[in-house]
Amino acid sequence: MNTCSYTILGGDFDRVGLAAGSLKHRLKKLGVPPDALRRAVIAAYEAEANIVVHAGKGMLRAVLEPSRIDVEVTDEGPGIPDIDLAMKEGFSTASPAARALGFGAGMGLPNMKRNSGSFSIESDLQRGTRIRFSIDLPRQEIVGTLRNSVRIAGELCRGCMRCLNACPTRAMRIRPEGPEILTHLCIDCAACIDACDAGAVGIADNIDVPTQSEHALLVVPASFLVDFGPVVEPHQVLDALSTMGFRGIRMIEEWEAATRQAVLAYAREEAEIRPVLSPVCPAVVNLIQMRFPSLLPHVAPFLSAVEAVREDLAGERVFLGVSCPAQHTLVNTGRSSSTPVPLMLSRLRGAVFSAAIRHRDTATGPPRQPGPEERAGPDVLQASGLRHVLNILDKAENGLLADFVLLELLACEQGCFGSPAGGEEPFIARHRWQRVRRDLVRPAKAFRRKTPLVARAGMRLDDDMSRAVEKLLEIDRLTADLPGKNCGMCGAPACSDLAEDLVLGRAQGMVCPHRADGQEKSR
Amino acid sequence: MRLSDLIRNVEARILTTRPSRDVEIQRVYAGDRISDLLSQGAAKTLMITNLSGIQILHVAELMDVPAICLVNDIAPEPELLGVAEEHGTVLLVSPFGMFETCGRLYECLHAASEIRP
Repeated sequence: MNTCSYTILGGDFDRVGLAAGSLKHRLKKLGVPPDALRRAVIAAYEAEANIVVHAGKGMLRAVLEPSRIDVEVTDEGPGIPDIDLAMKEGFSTASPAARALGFGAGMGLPNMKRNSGSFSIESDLQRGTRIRFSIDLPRQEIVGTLRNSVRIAGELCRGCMRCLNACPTRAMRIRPEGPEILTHLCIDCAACIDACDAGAVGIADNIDVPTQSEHALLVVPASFLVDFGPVVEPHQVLDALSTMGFRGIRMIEEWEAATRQAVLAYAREEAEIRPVLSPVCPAVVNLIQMRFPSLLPHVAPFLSAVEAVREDLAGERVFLGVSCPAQHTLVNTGRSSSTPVPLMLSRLRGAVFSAAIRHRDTATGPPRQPGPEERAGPDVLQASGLRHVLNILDKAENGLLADFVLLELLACEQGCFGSPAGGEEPFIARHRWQRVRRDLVRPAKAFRRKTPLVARAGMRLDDDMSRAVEKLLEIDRLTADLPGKNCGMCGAPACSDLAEDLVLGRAQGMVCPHRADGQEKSR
Repeated sequence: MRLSDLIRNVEARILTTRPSRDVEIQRVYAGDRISDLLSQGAAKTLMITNLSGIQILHVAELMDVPAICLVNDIAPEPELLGVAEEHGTVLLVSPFGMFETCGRLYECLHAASEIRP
């Protein structure tokens, strides 16, 4: 699991360092290099000590990302009246009791800042203090391969194996210590997240949340606006968001609509190939890159909506509400201070809901007009849901869909309205959106892709070609030897996957339950 | 330099039962502020301090400090000894004050010239 959080109680001097200690063990286990570990531990300890010395109660949360560790420390008060003064080395307001124990040297905040890459602090005399800092991890020493944004909390796994069967690329394995994703196979769709009832699989979450003072721009998916049932209507959600200190609110659908239009024009007027595939869903693009590379020339050369937002709003402080792992990866890859920050909107849900309820009577929204159903035309095939998407791509690869000009395929059912990030039933959510979309969507730009999409290199069985061939034969032999029930009980979705795992040494402790002692028990 | 050699030179007592013979010390740091101990603490470092709260052991464990030397012949709380024992941190107490303890250690390390204090 790449997120951990600890509650810290004020006044308990004997326990200072326990949260930092737990964090240390976790980071060490994950293979964080020593220097970064040291910095993280020092900064976390100082933050923890500050809560114990000054505040009633607080929370330390750490998120491990491929290139850095993000830490957020919040407390319930009393808040810092003068932050500049507090940042001065040697300045402290600690009690004599705390000083007697060696605390209150006035080095806490400076030490945190010195040991972290980015550091920010804000404080409010009513609400308390929030500190965020991040420790940069050196390149190459990336912990595991975190190319994707599906995150696993193994301790929550109940071993129900639903994710095993849900994964369209057979990237899931259930190991004794919990689920594992073979990242070279993962296309960052949300199938496993959707399948998991236990909450053991989720979307990566960033620690960076918007603050009042930042005056950032917020870009939300339409699904968030229709995620509050009939109680809070979409325009009320927008009103509520605008009371939360954002400079403005925009919708991903604006860029999506622009991209759709541009892609359709390209398909009808420019493309020499049929059918054209829409790049609107990044998970589907990943799927094509991995499983259907021969279809890559069919993909319209445009950026997906999320990438378009990134391009269009470059240089501004933007928070982008993401709906799925694929979007998160697009926003998070190569992130810098001039690109949008991915945001899990579930973190704003509570605040939006209460603000909307509070302003209910005063809110005046646009009158509801039934908008036209978003239908592109008889030559466009729109489909959603991975099962259908896989079938359609299969047919397209076999040249059976030349009667369509454009295929718009979305991994989640009803597109982003079916993303597991939202709670509403996808058909209901989409219908509610259709009622209001004409009033809410403003014009935006579509962007041409500058670098062409390339096929995703699979995992080579071996760098040495002759050994790779040997391994392939071995996998085939072993697959034939296994019962072929594809029951998943070994932890791999199919017998051929177990065979591959065994030959490549990935399958420690994985045994076929039907073949005790090499004998097939049941037939 | 081995911790046991240093101990002999300061006439310190070992309060914990963990064998200290194998502990290698390359550096000594003395301080009474948690923030300083935290940012200076490291492996192969002997920490000398006037503090005797449980916090110094948490800091030692966090920063992989193998041994802590208390001064002034202080008698630490049994709880402190228990935690040190549990963590495997060697806890020493010197009969001298901070000044003299540091002086003796400095001399001894300087003579061995293996490390810089």
